[in-house]
Amino acid sequence: MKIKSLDIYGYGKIIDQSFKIEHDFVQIYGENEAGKSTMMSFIHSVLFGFPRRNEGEPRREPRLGNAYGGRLTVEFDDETGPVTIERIKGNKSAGDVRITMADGTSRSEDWLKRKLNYIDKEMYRSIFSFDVLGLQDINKNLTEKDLQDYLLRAGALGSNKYEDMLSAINKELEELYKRNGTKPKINEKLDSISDINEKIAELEEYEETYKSLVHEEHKIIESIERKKQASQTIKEQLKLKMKEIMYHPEIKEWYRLANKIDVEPVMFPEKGIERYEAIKNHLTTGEKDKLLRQEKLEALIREENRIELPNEEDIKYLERIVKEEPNVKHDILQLERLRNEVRETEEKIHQSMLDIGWQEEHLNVDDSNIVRENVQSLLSRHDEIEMESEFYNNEIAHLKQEKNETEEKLSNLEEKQISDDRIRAKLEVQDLEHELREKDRVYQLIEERYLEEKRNREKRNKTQATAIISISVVLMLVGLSFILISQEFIYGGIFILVGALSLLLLKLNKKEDDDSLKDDYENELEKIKREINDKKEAYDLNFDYYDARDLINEIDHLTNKKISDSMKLESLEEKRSILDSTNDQLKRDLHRVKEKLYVSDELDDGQIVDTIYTIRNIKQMRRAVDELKSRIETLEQNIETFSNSVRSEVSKLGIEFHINSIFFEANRLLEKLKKDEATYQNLREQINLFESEIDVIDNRNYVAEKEMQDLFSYVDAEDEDEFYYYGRMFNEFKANEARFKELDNKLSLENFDVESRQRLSEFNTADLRNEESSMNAAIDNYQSQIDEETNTLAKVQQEIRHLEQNGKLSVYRHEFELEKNNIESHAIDYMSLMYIKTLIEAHIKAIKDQRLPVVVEEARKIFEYITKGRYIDVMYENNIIKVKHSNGQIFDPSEISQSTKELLYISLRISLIKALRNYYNLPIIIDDAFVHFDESRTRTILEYFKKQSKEHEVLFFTCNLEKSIPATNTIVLKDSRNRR
Amino acid sequence: MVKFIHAADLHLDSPFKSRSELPPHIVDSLMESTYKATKRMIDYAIKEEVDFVILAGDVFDQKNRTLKSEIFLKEQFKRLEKNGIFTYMIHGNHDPLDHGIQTSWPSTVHVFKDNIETYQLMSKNKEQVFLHGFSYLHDETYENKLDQYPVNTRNDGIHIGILHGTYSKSNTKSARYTEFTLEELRSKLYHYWALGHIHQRQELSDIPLINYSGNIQGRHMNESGEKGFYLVEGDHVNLYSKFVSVEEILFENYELEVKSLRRDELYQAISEYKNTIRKEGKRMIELTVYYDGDDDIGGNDYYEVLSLLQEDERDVEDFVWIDRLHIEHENEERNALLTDIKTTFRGDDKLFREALNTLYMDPKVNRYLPPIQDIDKDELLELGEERLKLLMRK
Repeated sequence: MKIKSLDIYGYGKIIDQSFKIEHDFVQIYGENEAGKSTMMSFIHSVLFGFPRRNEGEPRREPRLGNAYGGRLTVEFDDETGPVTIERIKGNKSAGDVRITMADGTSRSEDWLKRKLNYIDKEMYRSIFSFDVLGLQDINKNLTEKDLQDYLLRAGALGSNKYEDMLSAINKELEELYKRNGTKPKINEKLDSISDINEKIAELEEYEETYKSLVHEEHKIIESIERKKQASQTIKEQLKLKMKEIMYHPEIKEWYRLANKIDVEPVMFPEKGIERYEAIKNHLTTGEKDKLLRQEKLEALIREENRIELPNEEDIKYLERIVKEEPNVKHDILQLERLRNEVRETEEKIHQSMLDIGWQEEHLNVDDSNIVRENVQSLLSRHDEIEMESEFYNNEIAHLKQEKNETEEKLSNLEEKQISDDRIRAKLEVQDLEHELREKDRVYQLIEERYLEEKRNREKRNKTQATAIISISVVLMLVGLSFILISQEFIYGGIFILVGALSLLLLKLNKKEDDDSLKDDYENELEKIKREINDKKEAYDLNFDYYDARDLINEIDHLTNKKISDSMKLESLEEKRSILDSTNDQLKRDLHRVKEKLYVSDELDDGQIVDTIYTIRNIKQMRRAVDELKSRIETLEQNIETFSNSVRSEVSKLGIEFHINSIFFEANRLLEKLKKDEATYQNLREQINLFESEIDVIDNRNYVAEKEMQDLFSYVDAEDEDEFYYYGRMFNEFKANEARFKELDNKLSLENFDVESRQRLSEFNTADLRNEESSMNAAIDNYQSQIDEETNTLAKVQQEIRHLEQNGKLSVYRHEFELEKNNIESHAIDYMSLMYIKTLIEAHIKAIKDQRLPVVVEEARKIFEYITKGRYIDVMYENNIIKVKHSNGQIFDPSEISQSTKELLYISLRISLIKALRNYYNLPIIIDDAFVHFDESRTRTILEYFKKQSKEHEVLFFTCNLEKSIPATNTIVLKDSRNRR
Repeated sequence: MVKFIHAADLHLDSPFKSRSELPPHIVDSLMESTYKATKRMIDYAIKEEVDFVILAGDVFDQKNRTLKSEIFLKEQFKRLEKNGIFTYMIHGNHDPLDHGIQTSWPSTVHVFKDNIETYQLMSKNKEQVFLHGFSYLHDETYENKLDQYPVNTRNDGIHIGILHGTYSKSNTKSARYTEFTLEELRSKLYHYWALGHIHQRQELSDIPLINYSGNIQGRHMNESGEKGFYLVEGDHVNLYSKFVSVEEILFENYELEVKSLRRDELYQAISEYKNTIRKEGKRMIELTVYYDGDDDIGGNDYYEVLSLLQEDERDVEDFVWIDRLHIEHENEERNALLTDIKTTFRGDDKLFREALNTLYMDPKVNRYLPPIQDIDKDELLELGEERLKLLMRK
């Protein structure tokens, strides 16, 4: 492919320019910044697409909004006409491409890619571009191996992209897996998975035991079940045996009794013994009772004979006397009492006579109520007069004392009395003093106001003075200055004069203030004070005015009182004398009364009434005494009659009569007689009772003896012993029979049939016990076996439970599978990369094997040409490139000079381009690659490129214009800025 | 009227496949998922009061047959027993009869022996049901026993065939046990065929109903989509099947268009997207991101974004775990050299073998690798290219 023209619409700094390339070798000259790189980039972009944002290459879109892109016109060897490739900005970042054939038809982008044999920008650059950097790399790669690789790559691949890929792949592969490594991912996983594997194997083995455990479990359960059953059977037998042992004695007894009861039964009367004994007892006690009673009966009869029955008449008489006792006794007492009463009343009469002063009894004295009331009225009249006269005496005494006191007070007061002149003077002085106080207060108020006003005035004066002084000083200074400075004496003088005048005026204005008002007031006050003092000296004014006035009033009052008291006293004394005369009359009347009563005149008037009462009493008592004496007489007669009737009768009964003891004796005798009678009666009754009792007992004993005979005859017994014997026999039989029945019942309840009873009765207990203990042993044996097996079972079941609940195996298997997955996934990654690697290496090998010999052969010619025959051969053997100098020496590339190395590199590159001609035929772009070559060498190389440009178009970009290249083959780029 | 559940391939406690290193809580969740899904199914059976449950093989997983799974299943069977629900179960290639079970099932569980057997039962509505089937005796050796299934000649009751096998037209690569054609099954004149073995749910036929219920819980990205069982209902004239999903964790492929491949923006976009699907439950996803722009993403950034996204799921209950993240780049640059190389050497199997042998010749590694013939050359090459691209962009 050859580029025939470039039409740049807008790319980087190049805007709207066209370049025609009319030769196969073209020098494109431009200074720095002229746009060489832009142009190279443009070619790449149009062919392979605009740089993408992430490629690290500038996109070079025009700044000013011009169309982005452009058009290349190219020629293909196998196409008849020129083809235009236009690329402009489009939806994709690579831009939209339009390919137009010479006949006007268009082609797709894919067509272009196919045409360029899928070469990409990177690869195009690495094969067809020469630049300074590529050459410099030769010098950098110093080691022989690296140099060899580099040269080989230059010759064989033209690119280090394979290397990049391989190294990336290798790095990744190493991270994934190493055959004997431990670090890489797969190796790590292998370790962990083998750990898991081991655990799984262990657990699997463990779980294998499950089935046998379950089997064992079943076996044990069955065995336990069997043993439990056997044990149960024995237990039941044992139970039976224990029962047998328990009832064994009873069974034996039953058997014995059965045999016994079989003989004939014994007959005996119902409750024979008890009945017999009861009768016997009865008989014995009956006899005893009878004997006892007969003895007592005899004793009673004896006693009865001893006692005498008393006479009924005597008793009745005595009872009558005893009945009289209370009456007689009462009369005697009454008599005594009446005698006493007479004695006491006589005494009282005597006493009363002594009280009233009588020597004998005056039973005819008038003691009626008329006399008594008369005396009483006289007495009360007398008492009234006495009381009235007492009152008047008291009043008179009181008035006299009061009168004396008044007179004393009056004389005291008259001494203290003060004269009227002094009192008047005192009033005047008081008025003056009041006036003085008022005036003084007014004066002080006035003085305060005056002082304040004075202060204000002084202050005002002071400011005025200061102002005036300062003005005058200024004026005088002005004046002075006029004099001193301007020598103008007139003006100066005037100023000074005015200043001095004002000072003087001020001085004059300051006149004295007078205090005349103040003095007037002071004088007036002084005058009043003087007046007061004069008055005080003239009279003795040392007293209180009001006290003096009170004293005068008091004296007036007392004088009036004295006069009224004297008048009252006179009237009272008159009333008292009238009362005294009435009193004397009364006393005479009383004396007459006393004479009539035969009482002494010395008797107190007040006692008269009492005396009258006493006299009345004496009369009454005398009458009572007379009556009592008649009653006493009657009583003495009664007593005498009784004594005479009784005396003879009682003497017949052996009692000596005396009025005081008769009743006691009679009583005693009566009681004795009565007692004897009662005792006799009692004994008789007892005797009768005992006699009838003895009869009853005899009767009963007879019946009992009859019954006893009946009992004896029932069993045909001779005597008591025999009877008892039969009784015992019968009881024994009865007991056996009852026991037998009980046992029979019990045993049949416990299910012992007659047969087993008979069988068991043949054994003895020891045999049974032996059997029992052997059974117990068997049970214990089974139980211990069961226990043991239950233990084992529990263990087995626990193990089973553990296995069942143990999900670990499952967990590990999951882990195993996940790890395995992981390994697999990494392994696939690894193998996929490995496969790519293998392919790349195969490719590289193929290139080396197929391409290198051709390339080296071609390179030899080029190398010889551009070294101008100094080196004559390039050899490739066993992956090593060597060069042969014209002198026959063979060098390793590392041994030759730097520039020669570069030449070798260029040779190999050119050779590769040639070798790839059938794959890729594209323009060669040289980007100032030879700047540090000398002129002749550069010329030689360029010469070579030119020579072969028939096959490959060469675009030589440079900033040093190569003169050897004709101008027709040169395009000069101008800096676009300069151009404009 | 009969009502029953048809499930298969429970693969209890089956290990999972993931390309990434999973955080513990997700591993735990995965480990529990087959159990949870099964438990949900049993809950459903009890709630719906079905007559019986059919398990058409591969109840356990060869790779992880543990006591735990057996004990678990026993418990579930007991729950069914308590509710008067029968279980009919065959063993498949993953849990053949000869492996046996270590525990024992309740009396309501009927396990078919290695020769064709027929169980008869009366549904709750007094309908006769006949179930025909057989279990695998061994894993590796098997013979096609289809001929031995009895033909339904009687005209009473409902006949159900239970079979663990491979549909002849399915594209399953490995383990094509007991291949059958629909004609063969139809010739038996059954009312329903409960199939197991293929994990992808399929309804092969309407009349009669021939269903693969698929497995009950996905286990890797190739078992994507809802997983569960069929609830079958009807009588001898008409049977209807309804799919009920019970999976605990959904494996699914998702696609997302993004506007930028810049690290933070890409992370942001994917995070937001994750949150929109998160509310639907736990997810293991393979995400393909489409991008039409100039940005490119380097290996470092790619892995950083991926690890950030994965890190975000740590300790999240309803996780959305991105197992694989593909970036589909519309304007991607072609690597001219690689294209060149690929065209030249792609056909060279020797080189492919050589590359594989680096690992396959290491006995320490190769035991954990898939069979060498399973590795696809083109896939490997594509993967390698993708990896290399990321490496070169670092």
